[in-house]
Amino acid sequence: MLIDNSMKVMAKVFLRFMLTFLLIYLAIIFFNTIVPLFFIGFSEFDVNEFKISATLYLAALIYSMLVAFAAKCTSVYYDMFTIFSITRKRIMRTINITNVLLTVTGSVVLNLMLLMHDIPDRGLFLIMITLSIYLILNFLNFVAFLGKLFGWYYIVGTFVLLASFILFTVNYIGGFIQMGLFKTEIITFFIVATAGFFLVNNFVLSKRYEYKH
Amino acid sequence: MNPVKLKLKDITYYYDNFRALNNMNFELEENQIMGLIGRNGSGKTTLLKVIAHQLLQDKGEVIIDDKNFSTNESNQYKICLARETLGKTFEQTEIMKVKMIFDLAATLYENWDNTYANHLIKRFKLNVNKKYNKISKGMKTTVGIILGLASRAEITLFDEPYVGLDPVSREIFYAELQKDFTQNPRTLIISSHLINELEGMFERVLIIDEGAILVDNPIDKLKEKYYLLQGRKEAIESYNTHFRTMNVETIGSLASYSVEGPINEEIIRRLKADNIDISMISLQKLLYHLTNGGENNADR
Repeated sequence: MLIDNSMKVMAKVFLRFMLTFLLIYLAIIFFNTIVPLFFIGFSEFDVNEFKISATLYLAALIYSMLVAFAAKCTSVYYDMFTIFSITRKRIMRTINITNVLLTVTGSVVLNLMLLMHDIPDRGLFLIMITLSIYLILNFLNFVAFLGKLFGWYYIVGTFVLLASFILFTVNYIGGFIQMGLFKTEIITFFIVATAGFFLVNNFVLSKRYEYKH
Repeated sequence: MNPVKLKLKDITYYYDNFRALNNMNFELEENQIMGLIGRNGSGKTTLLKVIAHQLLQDKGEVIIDDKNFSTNESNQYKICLARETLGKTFEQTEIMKVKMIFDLAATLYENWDNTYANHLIKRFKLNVNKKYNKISKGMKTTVGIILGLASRAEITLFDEPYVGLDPVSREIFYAELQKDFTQNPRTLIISSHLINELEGMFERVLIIDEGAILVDNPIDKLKEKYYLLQGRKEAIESYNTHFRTMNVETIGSLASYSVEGPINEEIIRRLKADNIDISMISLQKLLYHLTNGGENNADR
């Protein structure tokens, strides 16, 4: 059964987590779009500008929320499920289903928001966004497992490497996507990397390692 | 005899190169309370974690209702291991109110009794609106106890369910455990150092040391196997071919012998006739002698 008790627990913790992000989102919107109006005057309020800001912040926040939740799944919630004596197989199944649901939801929301903007080649964006979210979630699961296995200082190192990689390549990859270049190569990279992390995560969790950190 | 609920087959567990559990085998019947006794570092918590699937054994099988726990999904949610912690990362990073933890447990455990959980919350005077990472060690133990009792899991494991608890809370726990077990019998394993407080509850005792089983017996069999003989030293010594002496304590001409039998009815009758008092050795003393705590147990 897809929705078993473990999934229900995961849904509950996700809703609670989402609520926190929603409050942060509302606070950011308030400070960045409403508060300035107190200084420049409410007559300057532009609905279109507000819409654009609100959707951009929401997109950024959804990305951050997915990233944070994926990291928590395999660290904090892994601990919680373990304490409730859920088998590792079941924990991994719950995390995998959660990843798929988060990817689909995140991609749908982001792409709906992108409808407000003029973007060429929407189909490609939809695929890229979906694949990139799924890759990020699986990668973060992997990093969190590393942290739980070997200690959290490994996470810092891994993220510094990742940040360097992103800074180094984001302009190129973003440019390629915008110009429609290397489509096949980029999509292949997303699929292969995701499959790699997915398989490694499932393999590692099936082994007897003690997640002591 | 009840059917076997839990069976451990050749369980071995290593922490790096240290063998924490060594080829352990035992069976526990349905609706039985077992006391898991051992010294610090003997492997009690590791054993409970392996049973609860929180650690994966290097070798062997945990079998519940004739099905391998690792591979059979139908055994899911049948086990609850009550401890004084919900995990290091969880405690350090998750800001969750105690009532949320109970809410999640209620979602997870099919037999969860919410009314009973609320009753226990009141009895232990637990503030469920506090954040879990802000409550005291004793309160964390109480959370574990409530999870264990209210989950009504078919196999409930309590790992030292007294850590940080004051004597009143300990008494509440013992009373609630007995009352609830009478009303809702299930298979229980309780690991403990406070043997004297709990030994009256145990139906079976598993004494372990250095990851190996020293004693695995129902409590009535223990009564037939281990004795405390008290009387004149010479009188007791004249019977020493009928039992194995584990420990001797002397005060003047009087002596107290901890011995391993069994001793047959005829010898017991003769011992009594010689004014030698025979009683069951306490579990605490038994643990002390079996784990080389005594000074005179050279024959082990």
